[in-house]
Amino acid sequence: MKTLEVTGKFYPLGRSQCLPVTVLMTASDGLRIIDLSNQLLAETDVSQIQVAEKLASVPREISLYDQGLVVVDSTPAVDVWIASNSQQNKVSKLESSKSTVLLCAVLVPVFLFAFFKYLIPSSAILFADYVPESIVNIASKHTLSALDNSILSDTSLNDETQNSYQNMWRDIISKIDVPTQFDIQFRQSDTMGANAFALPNGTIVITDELVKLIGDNHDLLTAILLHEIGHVEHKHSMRFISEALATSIAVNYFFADLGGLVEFFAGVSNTVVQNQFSRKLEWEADNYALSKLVGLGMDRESFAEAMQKLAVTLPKESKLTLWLQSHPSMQSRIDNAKDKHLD
Amino acid sequence: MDNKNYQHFSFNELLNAQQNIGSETPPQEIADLQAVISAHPNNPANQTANKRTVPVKFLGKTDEFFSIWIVNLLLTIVTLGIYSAWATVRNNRYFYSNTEIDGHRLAYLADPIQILKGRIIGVLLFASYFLAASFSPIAAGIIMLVLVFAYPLLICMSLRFKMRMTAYRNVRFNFNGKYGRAFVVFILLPIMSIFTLYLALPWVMKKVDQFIYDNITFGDKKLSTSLETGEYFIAGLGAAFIGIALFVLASFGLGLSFSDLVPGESGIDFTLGYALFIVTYVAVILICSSFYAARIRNHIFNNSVIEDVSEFTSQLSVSQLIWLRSSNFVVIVASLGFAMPWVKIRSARLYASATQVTVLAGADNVLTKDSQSSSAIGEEVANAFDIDVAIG
Repeated sequence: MKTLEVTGKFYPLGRSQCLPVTVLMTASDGLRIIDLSNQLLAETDVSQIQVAEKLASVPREISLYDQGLVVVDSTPAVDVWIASNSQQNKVSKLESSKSTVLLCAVLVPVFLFAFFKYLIPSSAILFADYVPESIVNIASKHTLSALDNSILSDTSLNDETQNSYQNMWRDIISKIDVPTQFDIQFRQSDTMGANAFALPNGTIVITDELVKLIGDNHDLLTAILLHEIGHVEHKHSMRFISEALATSIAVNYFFADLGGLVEFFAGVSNTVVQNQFSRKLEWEADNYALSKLVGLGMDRESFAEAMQKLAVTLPKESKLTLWLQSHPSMQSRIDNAKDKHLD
Repeated sequence: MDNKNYQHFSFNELLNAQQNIGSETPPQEIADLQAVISAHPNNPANQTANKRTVPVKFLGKTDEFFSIWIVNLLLTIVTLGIYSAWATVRNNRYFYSNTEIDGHRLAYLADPIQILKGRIIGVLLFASYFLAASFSPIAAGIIMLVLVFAYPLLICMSLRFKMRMTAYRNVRFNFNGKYGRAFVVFILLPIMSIFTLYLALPWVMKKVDQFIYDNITFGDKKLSTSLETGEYFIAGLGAAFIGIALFVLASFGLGLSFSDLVPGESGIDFTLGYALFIVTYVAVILICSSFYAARIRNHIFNNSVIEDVSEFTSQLSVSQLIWLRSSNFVVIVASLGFAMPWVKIRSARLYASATQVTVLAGADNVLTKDSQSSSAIGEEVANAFDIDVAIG
């Protein structure tokens, strides 16, 4: 191989000085750096150099161990010499190939979609199974006490009413045969209104407002209870937590280099992704409730009716707000309950 | 009389001495003093000779960077994020190595493995925080308190890493800010400004910037700033005033649409009103934050100097910055993120074109300073928790 002679800039180690130089690159001797008055400034073997990876047309930065840095233009001949004399990875080859870039531009959206739509949710199911019961218990207790100290107050239902509901539900839970020990509690809450929620350890909270709204029809309240049981049985809390964690880490690293306003955008997409997942969990719980209702010999219509009554208490829905909501639209849930073929 | 050695005095002290020369001063001493003054490197007469003002050139190209960005993004996704450390280095290197000042390019020197290690620790800490916070509100409270105390430390480590990884003419930058002072400017002063109803916030912002920039060094030379509190008040209060005025104007102009936000209106109007509200909100925030950012950037650059090495000039206009940011936002949304490389390149180009550097006589004589290597852990933990301090 012939000796390659190029001009470059030499920065001797230890100071900000820069000298215009001629760089001689040979296959055998390595690198010789000569200044404009033909003085040899540095000479080194190829084993003593370290070259920054090739990156587009950026000048090549060659560090000479203990002597300094020499920078030369990235010409094909220089690149060939560097590639044959030092470890270089292959990424710049991919970046400079038009067809690879085009392929990446197609694959990135496809992979991102698959990642958020399939990979994260399925790993969330896996994760949910490995959360120890003791942690689930502590988590549930802490969450309930935090809610009790903020938006929940004691129930105003009398003991007699409470007992009659409890007896009825005990009977239903024994019939549907689930391993979890359920603990159903009543609370009053202006903030939540007519609502029910389940904690992962099997504690289910039903608001007085919900009892007032649909309590006179036991089948409706049972339908709602079964929906909450569905959340617990499918470990939805743990799945949601792990999904939210994985999503926010992924968004942070896949879109790490986005600045300012775009970060706001990533925040929105994070919410949209999480709401998608949350809605999927709601559907699962709905369908769980519907199949159990049928198993108990009750009518799926009770679920639809319960949703109809709840819908009246909620503000009207629109297409945009749907993207920003954690629950499916009431109308679609009612349609789903009424559609008997969908099982 | 003692035989004075004037070499130990600063240029200003020498000038003072010359002013105070009395009739009893021996002529020989006056002559010596004159000679030292005229040869002193800080003498303006000597400086103009060796002083040149040069533009900051950004040489990156959109198509080149698009290729780098998309390939590295794909590699990051298929490696489930592990490759992101290498991607970060390549992306940063592209911007540093394409920034040229006075014929020399900046260099980004971080090692991907170093970043990967920091990133793994950052992700683990963030995951434990996230899980603890999800499982127990009490644990979340305790961690928040710990984070308040860790925050200044993370900022210092992060700035230190960013600066240590930046080099110019083969000399690294560094950041020497200490925890105590960081705690005061990032935690204590902002909390105290609440009691002034945030009126003292511009002054706090000045203290923050002073802490950041006055602690930067380039080799053995120190960067020093002379920031004016008044300019921070003009920028801060101006931004607040613009923001409020625009919101008032917008709510008059769009009054009808906003009223649709009231529940009970029909669904379609609700959507429209909501969308209009978001657009207005983004536009107003964008305009007043650009006003602040442009003014303060100019102020910091125009009042910073690396002794004997360089002075800086920034002439970024508010309207340029508003146009840049608003068009970037629209294009990013419309292209579903694919225009990211274009946005980053044109932003770098604008910032570079608004900046000039005056190279001083000592630019060739900066010595590198040995300091223990800095790890990426602080930087990455800060990133994982979304703590970020931008440097102009």
